[in-house]
Amino acid sequence: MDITRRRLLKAIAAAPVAASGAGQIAFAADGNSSHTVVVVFLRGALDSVGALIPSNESRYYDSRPGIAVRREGQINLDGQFALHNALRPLKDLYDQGDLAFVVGTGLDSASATRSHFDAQARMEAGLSGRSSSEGWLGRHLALRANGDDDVFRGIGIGNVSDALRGYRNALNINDLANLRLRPPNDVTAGELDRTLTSLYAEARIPELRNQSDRALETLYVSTVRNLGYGTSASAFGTRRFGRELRQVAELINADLGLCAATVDFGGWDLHDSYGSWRIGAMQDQLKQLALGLRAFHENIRDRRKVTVVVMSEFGRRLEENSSYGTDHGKGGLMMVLGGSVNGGRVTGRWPGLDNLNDGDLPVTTDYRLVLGELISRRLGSDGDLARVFPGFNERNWLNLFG
Amino acid sequence: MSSSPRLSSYAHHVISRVTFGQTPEILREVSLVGSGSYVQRQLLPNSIDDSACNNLLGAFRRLYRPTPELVASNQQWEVQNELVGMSVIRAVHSRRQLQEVMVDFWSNHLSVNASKRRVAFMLPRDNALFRQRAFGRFEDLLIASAKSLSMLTYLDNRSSRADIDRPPNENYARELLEIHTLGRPDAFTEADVKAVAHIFTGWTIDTGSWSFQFRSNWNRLGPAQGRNILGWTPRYPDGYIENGEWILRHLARHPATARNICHKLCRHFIDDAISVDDPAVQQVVARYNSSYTDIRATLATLFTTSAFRDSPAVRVKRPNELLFAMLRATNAEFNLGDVQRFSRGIKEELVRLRQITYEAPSPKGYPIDDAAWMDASSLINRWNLAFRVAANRVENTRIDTASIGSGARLAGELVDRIGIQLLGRPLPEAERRHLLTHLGASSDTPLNARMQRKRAALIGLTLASPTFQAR
Repeated sequence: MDITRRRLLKAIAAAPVAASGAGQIAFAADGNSSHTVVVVFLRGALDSVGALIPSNESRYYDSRPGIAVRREGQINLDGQFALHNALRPLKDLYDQGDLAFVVGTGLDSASATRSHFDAQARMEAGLSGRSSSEGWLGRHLALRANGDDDVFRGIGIGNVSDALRGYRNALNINDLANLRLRPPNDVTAGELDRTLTSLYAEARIPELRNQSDRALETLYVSTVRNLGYGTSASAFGTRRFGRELRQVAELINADLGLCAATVDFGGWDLHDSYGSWRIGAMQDQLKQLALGLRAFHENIRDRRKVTVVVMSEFGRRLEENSSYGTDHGKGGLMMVLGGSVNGGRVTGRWPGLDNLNDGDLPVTTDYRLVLGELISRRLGSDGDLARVFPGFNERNWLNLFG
Repeated sequence: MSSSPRLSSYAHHVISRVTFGQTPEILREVSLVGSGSYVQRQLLPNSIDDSACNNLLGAFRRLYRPTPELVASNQQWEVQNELVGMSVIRAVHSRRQLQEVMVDFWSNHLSVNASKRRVAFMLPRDNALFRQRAFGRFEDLLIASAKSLSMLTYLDNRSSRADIDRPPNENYARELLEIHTLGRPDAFTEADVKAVAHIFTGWTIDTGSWSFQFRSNWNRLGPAQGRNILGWTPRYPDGYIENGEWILRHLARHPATARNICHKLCRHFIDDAISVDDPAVQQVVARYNSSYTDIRATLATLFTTSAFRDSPAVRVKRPNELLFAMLRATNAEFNLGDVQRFSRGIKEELVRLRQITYEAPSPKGYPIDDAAWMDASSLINRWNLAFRVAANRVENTRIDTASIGSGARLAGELVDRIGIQLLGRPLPEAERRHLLTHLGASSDTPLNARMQRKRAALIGLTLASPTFQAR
């Protein structure tokens, strides 16, 4: 099918159908994939024990004379663990049963590293002990692609994350409002579209040629659907993470066939100036995280069809360093949030702070056990799993998804 | 409009790689002295008069204040914005173009983030270090970076000490090995990181004068004592800054570093897909080694490789390069009456393009490879940038639309004259034809009022064309 015709059909398919009374057009007819996963990656390594605090273990307080969160700054969850005070907005979601924490998560031993960049690359590749030009989400999306995908099926906010690589139609979105041509006054967007189409059809650099096709298609759909903002800006706040989650919420609510979205949240590499439970970098980061996640959850129209996974490349060392911060460690923390999550609990295997590995909380749960269950029970099937995470054979699910 | 000299396509290629974009002045110079001499002169920036650019920079009064005053002012946001504004002025107006290209390269390789607390106050001075040493020895640049207040703050070494019952901060040591020098996490061990972190304990900041300070009483070699660290062993006892300086020199000359730095330079200047085993990279590495990490010599060799010669227009301009090239090509005038407002406006453009100067999201800096910048919505942003420039929508920036392509009588002439001003030469035949179709004319159709009104669109489309996007 030629490009222009394909784009036209796509635009017609994406047109609002309210007038016809025919109800929603069914996008993405493949299997379970009407479920959307949003992966929030905390870049720089979240201090897991500072976010979800092992409240009763004296070793926590002893190892961190300067930066341990005292009890007055903790919100008790289950007697054993407490949330950092800045995560207070998440407490209701936990109590409602929509939010679960998984402790001791991280890379398998063959992949373990203290390099941010290597750990992130391996985790997003989803393979054992190596990185790859394909990411786990990319493989999942490519597996279920039908050759003529919706433009918004796999998106990265701010950039196409490594997890999405391998899915060649992954789209980066910075701001939904920018998905429009804004021509000079002497020309219409339609005229520009035609000329850009012919200019780029013969571009010598293949990447320019390929992406132009996709770009013009995106412009069609977003213009026809008049993509914009329906959620309340104030709920998401003015900080970047909140604003980025808002874009995802808009796309989900617009029902454009979004299957997977990634959001990056940086600034977690707190080797120094960690701060106290009331003020400082850690408090500020956690607060943004909690407010963003809560606004997102509350602004999604059909929460049962959306799952957010929060992950990070590794945890941090238990012992505080000479700069009132922490260095790179091992065992981390994952969060799973959604209307169909078996939440309200802390799961995974907690080894206790008296069983450290070289000064670090060890990894007791392969991060793929969480993502694998998500693939198998929400996004696809058991059959997909072997191809999304080749070589990963654990199936003793944590029952995060019933 | 000035007539532009005809240059060989090789000359155009050289200009597109060693500058942030052609201008009539550069075309004239290259046509007079040849591209080889032009590059030689660019490698000796102090021989190039840059007073016109420096006069413009004078408007950024805040950035010339001493660091302690900047810290005391506590105007981090304003300083951050103006740093971006100033770097755009330099990229667009400095005649020392290759120097600015290299400052951009080094500040990205030894990346710091100005949005971290106080880092912005340190950057006006630290940025000058990169400018002074852009073509010097890499080992001197590395030492300057290690002692720069912005790096000491960004990677936390300023608070790292070994005289108390807490381990040193490992942040700088790890990124020094992994990113700044060796380039590969498998080239060193965790024990190396701990040893190097000890060597740099006490490298800190005097917060009275806001200058580098070595606190010898914070310094302990600990596990580094007598240890062979990547082929080097500390020679002096605890409390000597010389240990840190020597390991930086050793690391700069390490074979893995030579490969890392030279490969990155080749990816930047030649082709992002070039293999580390390519003969050109090997040639560049050999010169880096034989010159004791001399960047000028290394670059001079790079520009003479056949791989460089044979790589025209294979790269896509990175977003900041695209913005600079558009502003240069259109001879944009900046309103610097209020540098804060100017800076905010121009920073907005870089925010949209996702490449804010001095705000890379990680110590790794912004990606070098084209694929990282090329996706559908980035392309839409690039097209819209072209239209914003053409329609004079970039704040505090003006282009004289009427002068671009002026004097044309035929449709083909209009398209060609616009091409010559914006690219230094007419668009390739196919793209030229599509613009004529856009005008609804053939090459020899006399221009009429309707076509004259489409001038801004033609300028925008030329800036948006695949040819302009490439370098």
